[in-house]
Amino acid sequence: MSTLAHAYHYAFASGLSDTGRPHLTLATSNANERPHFFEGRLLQPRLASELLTAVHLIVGSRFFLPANSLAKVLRLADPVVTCGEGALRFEGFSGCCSTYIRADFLPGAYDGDILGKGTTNVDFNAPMRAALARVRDSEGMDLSVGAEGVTINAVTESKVELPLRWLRGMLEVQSYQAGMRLRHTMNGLEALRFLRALPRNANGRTPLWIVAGPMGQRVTAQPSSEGVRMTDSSRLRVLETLAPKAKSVALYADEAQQSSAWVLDFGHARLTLALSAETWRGFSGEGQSLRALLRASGSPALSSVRAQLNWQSTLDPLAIAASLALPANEVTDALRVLGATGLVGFDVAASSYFHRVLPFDLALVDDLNPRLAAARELLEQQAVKIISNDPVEAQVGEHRVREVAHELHCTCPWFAKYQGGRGPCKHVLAVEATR
Amino acid sequence: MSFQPTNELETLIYAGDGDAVLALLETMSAAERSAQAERLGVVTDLMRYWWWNREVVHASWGMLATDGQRDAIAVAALACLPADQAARFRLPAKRAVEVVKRIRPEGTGSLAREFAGKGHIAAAMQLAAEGLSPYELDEDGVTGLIAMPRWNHYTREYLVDNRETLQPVLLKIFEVEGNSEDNLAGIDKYCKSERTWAWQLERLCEDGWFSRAELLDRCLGTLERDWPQFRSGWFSRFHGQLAPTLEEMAPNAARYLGMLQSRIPPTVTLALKACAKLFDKKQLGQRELLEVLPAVMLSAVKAQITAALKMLDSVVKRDPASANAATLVAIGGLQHTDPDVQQAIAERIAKWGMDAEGREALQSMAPFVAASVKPKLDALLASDPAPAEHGWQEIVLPPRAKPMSPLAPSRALQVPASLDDLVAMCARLLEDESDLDLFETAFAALLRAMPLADGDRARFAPVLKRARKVKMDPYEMKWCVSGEFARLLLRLVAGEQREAAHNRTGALGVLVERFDDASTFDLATHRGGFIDPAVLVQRAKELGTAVAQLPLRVQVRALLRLVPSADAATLAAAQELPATPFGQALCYALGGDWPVQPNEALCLAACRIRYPRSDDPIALLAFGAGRPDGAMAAQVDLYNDLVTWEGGEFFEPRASVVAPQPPVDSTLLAPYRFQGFWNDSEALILFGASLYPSSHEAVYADALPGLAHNLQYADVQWHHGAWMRLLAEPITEMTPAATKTLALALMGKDPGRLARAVDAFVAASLDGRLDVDALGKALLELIPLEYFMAARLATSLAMAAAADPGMPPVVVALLGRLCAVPSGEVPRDMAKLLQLMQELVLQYRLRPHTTALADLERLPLTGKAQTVRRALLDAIVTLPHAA
Repeated sequence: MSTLAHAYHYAFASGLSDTGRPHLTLATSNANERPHFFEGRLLQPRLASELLTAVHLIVGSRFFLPANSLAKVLRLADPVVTCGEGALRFEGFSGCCSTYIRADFLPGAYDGDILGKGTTNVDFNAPMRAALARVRDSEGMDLSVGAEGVTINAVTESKVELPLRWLRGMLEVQSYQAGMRLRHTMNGLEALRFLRALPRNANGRTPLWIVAGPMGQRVTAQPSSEGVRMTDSSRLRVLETLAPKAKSVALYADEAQQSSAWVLDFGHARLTLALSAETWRGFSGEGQSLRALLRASGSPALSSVRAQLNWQSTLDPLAIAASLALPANEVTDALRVLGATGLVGFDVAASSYFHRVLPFDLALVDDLNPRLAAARELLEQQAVKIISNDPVEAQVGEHRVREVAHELHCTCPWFAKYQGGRGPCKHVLAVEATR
Repeated sequence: MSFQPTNELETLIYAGDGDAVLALLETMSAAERSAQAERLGVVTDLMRYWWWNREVVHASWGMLATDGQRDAIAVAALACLPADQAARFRLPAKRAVEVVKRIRPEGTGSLAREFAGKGHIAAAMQLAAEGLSPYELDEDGVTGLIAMPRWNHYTREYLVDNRETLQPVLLKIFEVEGNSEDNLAGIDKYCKSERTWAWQLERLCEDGWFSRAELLDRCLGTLERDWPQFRSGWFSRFHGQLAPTLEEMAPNAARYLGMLQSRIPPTVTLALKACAKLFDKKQLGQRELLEVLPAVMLSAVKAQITAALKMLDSVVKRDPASANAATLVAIGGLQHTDPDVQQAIAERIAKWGMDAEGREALQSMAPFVAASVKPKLDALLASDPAPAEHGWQEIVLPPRAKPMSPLAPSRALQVPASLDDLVAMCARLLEDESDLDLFETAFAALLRAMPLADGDRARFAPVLKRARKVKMDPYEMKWCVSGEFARLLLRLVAGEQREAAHNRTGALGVLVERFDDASTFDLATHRGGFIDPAVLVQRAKELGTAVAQLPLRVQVRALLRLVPSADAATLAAAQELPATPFGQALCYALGGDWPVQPNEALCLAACRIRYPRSDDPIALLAFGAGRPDGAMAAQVDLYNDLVTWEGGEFFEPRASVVAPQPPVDSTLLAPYRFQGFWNDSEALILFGASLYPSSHEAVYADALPGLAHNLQYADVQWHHGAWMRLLAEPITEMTPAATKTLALALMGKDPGRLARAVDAFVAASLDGRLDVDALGKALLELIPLEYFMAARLATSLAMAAAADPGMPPVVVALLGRLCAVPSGEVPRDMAKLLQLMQELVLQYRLRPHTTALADLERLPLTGKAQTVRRALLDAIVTLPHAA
């Protein structure tokens, strides 16, 4: 199975009516209900328009086109809207699986009523975006997420085939964000100048590193443990119109430099843009989440934590651990697992998970984590033979797993190629599960 | 022999009577019509139906194919062939409908879609309208319509003939973006005649298909969608072609205003022009304009900010009370890095004044203002300029220093701690060939581990399995080093002999030789391929006279990898060695006497170590001067070779050192490296460099013309990164050739390679290896060769200046050196270099050298460059010297 069939059910096309006060009505998707999440007005209409436009741009983008792909941009998943405790979040993922974007509207960004909580796809379309381009602050803008009085007969169904690679990336990016740490901050104009100075050439294969210089951030080809690795800066162009309006711009990266995130803070709104290491590959299985998934099989903590989910915009592992009388690390693992299965997202700026349920039927998909599946198979075959425990040494089939400087190394081609930078191989996972 | 019809159908086709053909086919059954298909294909070929030039008489047909004959055969094809084949034939839509109505051929259900797929939208739609074949015009269909002019040279006629069908839908071409091949911008760009879509639409407008207002409305609607710049550019240009009048633009004023916030620069430019016109004629309100212009002030395009400032001029002129508001808008433009833009804004502010809000905004922009504009800003804020704590500072460059010793302890190659570490190392090298030192380490460890016990051999099992699958591509130069290493592993560990997949010479050939020799004698002891002389002496001592049994090329490689040394103790130890040719050559390399029985290959290798940068007079006498890096030390430079060919003349960049004549083999390894040795593989370049690591002149002989040639080309040469890696190494001496290689690399186009070049420049400057004066000289020498790109150089020097606090003086000194350019050779875009110099001088209060200032004064400059020079010299004169 290489794709997952997914259907949209929209009763109408999202649009901005500008007779009188501009009113943006976003169509939500659901086969049986008519999700109606929000009614109110946006307090910074121009900024909100630009944030939503940015989400739409990324969703329609492919920063890498494999040689044998179709020339036209395939329609993949529409953005996803989550309405939780006061926060409205719009998430999207690029067609090439290398770029994730999320626009968060916090309670101070709007004046209105949260009518319902949940997550669903939302229709973004070209005419809507064209209309958003004309929005001005002085005219204000009302917002409806969903609408009242929509009849079932009016629903139009359209189907897409979502590549599993795309789905995996959409899930894994949450795990990567959970592992990121803050590397640089700058103000909006500093960020604008920096972004404009980046190479415009989209063919960049040489990784560049963003490091601190005497006059602010700069790029170098020298790897730096405190820097942020980057390829193909064209993915960042969507930030150029927004950066000047941001109060601050923060740059995060995970320790293995397999992903980075730019967070633009506008006060009551935020934009998060997460990038994979290269445009031609997405976000493959992140180490911590794979380990958590392996450990969490059959774990009671997982179901207990899942039961606590109620559209919270911030999930505090310590508070949950206290309320459930569970060790904090088990709760953290459980949240990782829930992130990897689409039940929570991660807000890197707030450094916490939030509840949202991706509207895809992932139960149909067996192999969302091929490496994990392969590790489980090795365990079932009892392929792991522990030779010593301190330091760890094991034979897994024809490969040898050894502990080197507190990390497990393997002789398989995957590990040899990536040297652990892309997470543990199936052999290492199997050994870790055995111990 | 001309066409001879074989049946009635063919006779009618040849007669050009399509109606008769149709009547005949009506009498046939579906099976009988299908039976005609094969022969129809033959007739089509004989007619040369698909031939692009209809004015050619083909012998197979015997006459010029007439329109009647084309019609007849197309009718027959539609009736007899499967739908996908029939749709290729060009029947007018009405004719196609007629045929289908009368015949109802098989496959009619898909016929409309097939026609649409082949771009015959009119036929598809008419068939659908008649209920004969289902079809709904979708995005693909519209894209097909957009693509029509590419293959249909009669698009206008087609449109006119099918007006009734196409008029209601044609403007959908404004709604569909198309794809990378088929989009309005691409089709019109490559249209070979004037009959672009823009031309077609204008004609149709004249014919009354659409009103100008409708075209304008659609055009603006598409521009508002912010399609990617290339595709939306068509609409900007079409708008310009349409040239709407003020009356036509006025109803769309709000849309033009909205387009000022577009992400697409040409759209903003269009909107600026429109809004300026509308505002001038009072069709646009001042309030709305002031509300939207802040977005334009954040533009990266200098001309847009300038246009916006002019609009603000108009606003203030019309309504002086709006001056403070205009100032607030203008201040946003200080984000732009161009000092000219900032200067223009400062002048406006001075003229219009500002209130408290403006003052606060201006204060917040102070960190982003160029040093040359700062005094004006300070004056506007009526603040005292920052105290000149140190006045001007003389430029202090990082102290010059020799390159790091290749034998520094930090550069010693590490031995794998265990067999498992070696296995892991080998596994990694099969997947990643970027670290040549790791190959050397693994190679050494493997040789020393031989022969392996059975248990140890078993540890290599997973690696051997992978080694059997490694595929090198000696034509694309991919995975060559890993591939040969895999072959070595299989041979040494598993005893499997595999033939080389190529018969390459050059670096790859030497790599094969090295692995085939499998000798520990020439193994490196330190990174970069260097051998510690004391270690080589010890190796020779252990072998005794048996060293002479080693292949000559092994002995030569060992000598060439020596670190040049004048250590007396090492020489004394070498002099204790048996008097083999190698032993004598080794002594000579370390400073001893010329060998009694000089072996040419060994002696030439030895003299390169003994005289790293100069010729060896004794070797010259003994062996002559015919080989670069033989008795004579190669010193590479770049020149332009005039090449004449049948098409004319052109200049080809070449290295000044030519390949040895007659050609040599790899035992004369150092000269061999000038003989088509290099290729487009970063790993092989680094390997080749490691064979004679104390001199990279042969590398630069390839790098200099390679970089010069690639300056103007768009294609990326990934392997160029190898040269930058070598230059960045702290052990690399910055010879004139190395310096010139760096100079060229600093003007490269690919961001990755450019970043590496800047890193190398910074590293070499800060560790004292680089003579800034020499770099300036190298850059100046590139000007008459036309390999000088001032704008790119300014960008990379700005990057370098921002890399380290020690770099601004280096960059200013270099720029000062460039002022010595001869009067007749002042490069284009010199102003950008001078502007960078001005900003750095003012920002860091660096006083250029007196010579540089004198050179700057005498340069024959005009325009912008002259203005910048004046400002710079004035600023230096007015401020105090260092305390």
